[in-house]
Amino acid sequence: MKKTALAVLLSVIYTVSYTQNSEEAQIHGNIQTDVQYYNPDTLIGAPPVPEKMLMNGFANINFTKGNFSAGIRYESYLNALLGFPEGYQGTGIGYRYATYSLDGIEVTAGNFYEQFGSGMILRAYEERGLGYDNAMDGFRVKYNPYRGVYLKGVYGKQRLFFTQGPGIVRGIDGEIVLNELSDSLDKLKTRVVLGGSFVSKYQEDDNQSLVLPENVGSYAGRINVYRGGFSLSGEYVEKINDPSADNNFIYKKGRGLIINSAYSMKGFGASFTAKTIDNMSFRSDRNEGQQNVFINYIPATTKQHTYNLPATLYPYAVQPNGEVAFQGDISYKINKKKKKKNADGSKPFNLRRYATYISVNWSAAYALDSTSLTNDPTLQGYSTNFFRPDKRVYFSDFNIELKRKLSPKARFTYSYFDMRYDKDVIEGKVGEGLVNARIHVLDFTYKINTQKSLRFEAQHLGTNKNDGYFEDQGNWVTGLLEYTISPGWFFAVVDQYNYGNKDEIQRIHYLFGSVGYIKKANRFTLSYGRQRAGIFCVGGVCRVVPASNGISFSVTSTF
Amino acid sequence: MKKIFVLIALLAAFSCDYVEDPLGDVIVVDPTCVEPTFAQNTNTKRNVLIEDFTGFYCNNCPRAAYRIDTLKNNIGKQIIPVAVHVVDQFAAPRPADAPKYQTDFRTPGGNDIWTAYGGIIGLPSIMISRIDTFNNPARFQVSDLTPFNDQVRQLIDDVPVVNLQVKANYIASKSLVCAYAETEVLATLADDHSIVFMLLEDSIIDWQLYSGAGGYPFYSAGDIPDYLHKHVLRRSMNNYLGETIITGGNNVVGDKTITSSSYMVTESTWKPEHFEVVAFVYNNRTKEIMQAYKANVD
Repeated sequence: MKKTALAVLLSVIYTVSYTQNSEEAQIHGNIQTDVQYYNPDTLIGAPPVPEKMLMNGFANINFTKGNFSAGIRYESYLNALLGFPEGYQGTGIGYRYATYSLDGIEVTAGNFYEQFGSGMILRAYEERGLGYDNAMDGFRVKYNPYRGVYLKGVYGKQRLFFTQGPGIVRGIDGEIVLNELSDSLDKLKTRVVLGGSFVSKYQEDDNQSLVLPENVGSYAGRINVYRGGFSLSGEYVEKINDPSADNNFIYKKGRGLIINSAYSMKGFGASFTAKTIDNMSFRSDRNEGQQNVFINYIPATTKQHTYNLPATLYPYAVQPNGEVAFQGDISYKINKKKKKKNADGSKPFNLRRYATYISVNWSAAYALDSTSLTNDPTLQGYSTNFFRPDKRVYFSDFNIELKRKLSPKARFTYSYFDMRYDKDVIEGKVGEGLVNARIHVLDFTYKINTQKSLRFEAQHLGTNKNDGYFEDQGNWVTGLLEYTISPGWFFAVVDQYNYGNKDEIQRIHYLFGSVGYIKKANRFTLSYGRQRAGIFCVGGVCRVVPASNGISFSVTSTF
Repeated sequence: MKKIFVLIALLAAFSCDYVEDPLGDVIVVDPTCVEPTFAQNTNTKRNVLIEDFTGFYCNNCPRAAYRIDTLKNNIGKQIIPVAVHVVDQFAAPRPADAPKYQTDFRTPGGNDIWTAYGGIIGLPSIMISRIDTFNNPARFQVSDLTPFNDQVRQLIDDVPVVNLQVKANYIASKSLVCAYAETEVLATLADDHSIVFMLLEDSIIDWQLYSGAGGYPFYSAGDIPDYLHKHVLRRSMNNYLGETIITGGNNVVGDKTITSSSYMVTESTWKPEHFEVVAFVYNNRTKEIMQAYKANVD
C-alpha cells in the first residue's frame, strides 16, 4: 500500500513536470534523525531498553512546479525514542499530499493540516516533539469566490500513528474580511473579519449498552476587530451530545468561548485573554485517549516558558473537559537616555545607558463551577454555570522578566515565577494536590568577541511546604554554561540537582553535556548524561517524558 | 452566498444525531429462569468490588493480581475481585506468537467499563468500588498500588446503605445462566441507584507474560503457559450501566427489590462449573459502588 502510494506520487510528479514546462520544477525538503543509546539507571527510574538504542527519523521531500506541489514525509521509529507514544512503530510514509491551485480554487488530495478559527472546532497539526500528529487524510478545497470571501471545506479521516482513526471528519469554514469587499471599506481604519464553521464527525455506534450518536456536529462563530494598535477577537463554539471516554460517556452538549484583547504602541504592549471550556473534547474516535485523533484544539492561555525548571517541572496542560482560564500580559520598555559627559571628560553614572525591558504575565485556570446531577436519566452528567470559575485552582502562574544590557558585551535577564500546579488534575495523580513553586532564573551572556560568547544560567526552584501545599520533590537548583563559537560550534553543560528532596536517595545530580556543530544547512548534536522525568508541553498539549541516561545523537539537514 | 448558507444548513441537518434516550431498551430476563426465594439478609458489612484492568501481554499485571489475591486471602469474602481484560496492545490475541496468547478475554462490557471509567492510566490499574479519586472531572482508576491496602481497609468498615444477595444457576439444556438479586435499602438514598450483573469465569489456565516484578511466588519471569487467570469478566449481563432500581428521594429503609438477568452462553470454551455471578449496586450520580455480592452458579 505504501509502495503503491509512493509510486503514484512519483508518477504524478513525473507527469506534471513534463506537462508543465513553463515554470522551473523544484525539489526541496529536510531530514532529521535522532538516535539515543540508553543506559538503565535505577536511581532516576530510567528503565532498561531491550534494543539498547532507539531511533526516530523523518524526511520531508516536497516537489513544486508552478501551481502544483506534492510531497511525502518518510518516517522511521526503530523503535520510537522513550516517551514517544507507543503507537509509533516501524517505518512508513506518514504524510503524502498533492495540491493544485488555479482561478481562486485550491484542491489538496491526501494529507493536510488545517485550522478553523482559533482551532476550538477544528485543528489538524503536527508537533513533532510531542509525537502529536492528527493530520487529515482525504480532500480539502479552498475557494475564494469573491474578494474578501474565503471558503474552506475538508473531508477525511485522521492520522493515528501509521493507521487512521475510525471516524470520518467533515467540515466547512467561511471567512469574510469586510474591508476587502469594496474599495471604500478598504480605506477604513477599523478592520473587521467575520467567520463561521461547521464540523461533523461520523463514527459507528460500537457500544452495546448505550445509544450513541453516530453523527456529532459542532458549530462556531468568530469575529476579529482591529484598529491601530488595538485588537479584539472572540470565538464561540458549541458541540452537540458527544459521549466519549473523555467525558465518561455523558450526553451533555459542549461549549467554549475565548476572548482576546490586545493593545500595543511603541515601547508598550498589553493583552488580556479570557476563556471558558465545558465538555469540549472532540475526537474522531470516541474511545481514544492520550493525544490521539483530536479534531479540535483548545488554545492555551498560559505562557510557554523556555527556561528548564519553569518549563518542564510544572507546565499546564489544558483541560478540555472543563476549565475557566484567564491571562494578562504587560510589557514595557524603559528607553535609554544619554547624559552629558562630566566637565573632566569622564562619563557620568547613568542607570539608563541601555534600555530595560520589563514584562509581567499572569495566568490562571480554574475548575468549572458545576454540580453533579442527582437524577440523570438522560446522562447529562452535571450542570454548570457558564464562565463562572469554581474555587478550585488547576494552575496559576505569575511571572516577571527583566532584561537589560550591562555593557556593550554583557547582558542579563532575570525572571521570577510563582506557580500553583494541581498535580491531581494535570498529571492524573491521586491525593497529591496543589504544588506552589517559586522560581528564580538569572541568565547572563558575555560576548567575548564577534564570534565567541559565553552564557550562564542559574535557576532555583523552591516548593512551598506550608499553607497546605504539596511539597512534591522539593527544591531544585540548575546551572548551565554554554560556549558558542559562531557560526559553527556550541558546547553546553547543565546540571540539575534535586537537593531538597525529602528522600535523600533522590537528591540526585542530573548532569548533561552537549556539543553541536552547524555547517550551512546541516546541524549535528551529540549529548550525554542524565535527563530527569518531566513533562514536555507545547501550546498546552503535554506528554510525559520518562527519565533516561545515555548518549544521543541528532542530525538535521535541509535542502 | 445564499447557496453557501443552504449548504451549511443541509450539513447541519444531516450531520447531527441528537440522542434523547441514551440507555435505549431495558434487557429482560429469559422466561425459562425461575425466581428463587431469598431468606432474610443479615449481612451488616459493605463488600468491596475491585476491578483489575489487566491483559495477558501486560507483564506487570500479575503483580497487581497477586496483591489483590493476597488482600482477599487476608480479608475474606468482603473482597470481590473482577479481572477486566482490556487494551488491544495487551489483551488482543497475537497470531504471530501462536500458540501463545491466542485467547481473547476482552469483552464488550469490559471495554465499555474501560472507556467509561478507566483509560486515563495504563495497565495495570484498578478501581476500588469505583470511588471517585478526583472530583470533576470524575476519575475512578488508580495505578499506584502502594496505598491500595489502606484504601480497601477503610471501606470494609463502612456501614452499608444497601444490602444485596444474589442467587444464580445454570440451565445446561439451554446453556442459560440465570441470576436474581434482592436489594434492600438500609438508609434513605437521595440519588438514583442501579444494579449491574456480571458473569465471571474463575480459574482459567492460559498464557500470561510476567516481568517477575512484584514477588509473585508461584511464577518466574517470562511467558507463563499455565497462569491461573482468576475471576475473569466474561459478560456484562445487563450492560455495564445496568438498570435503575432505586429512585433518589423516593425510597425508605426496608424497601426490597428483586432484579433478574440472564445470559445464553454460546461460547464452547467457557466452563460453566467455573462460573460466578457478581452483582453490584452503584450510585448513578457518583458512580460509587455501594454494595456488591458474588454468588457461585449452581
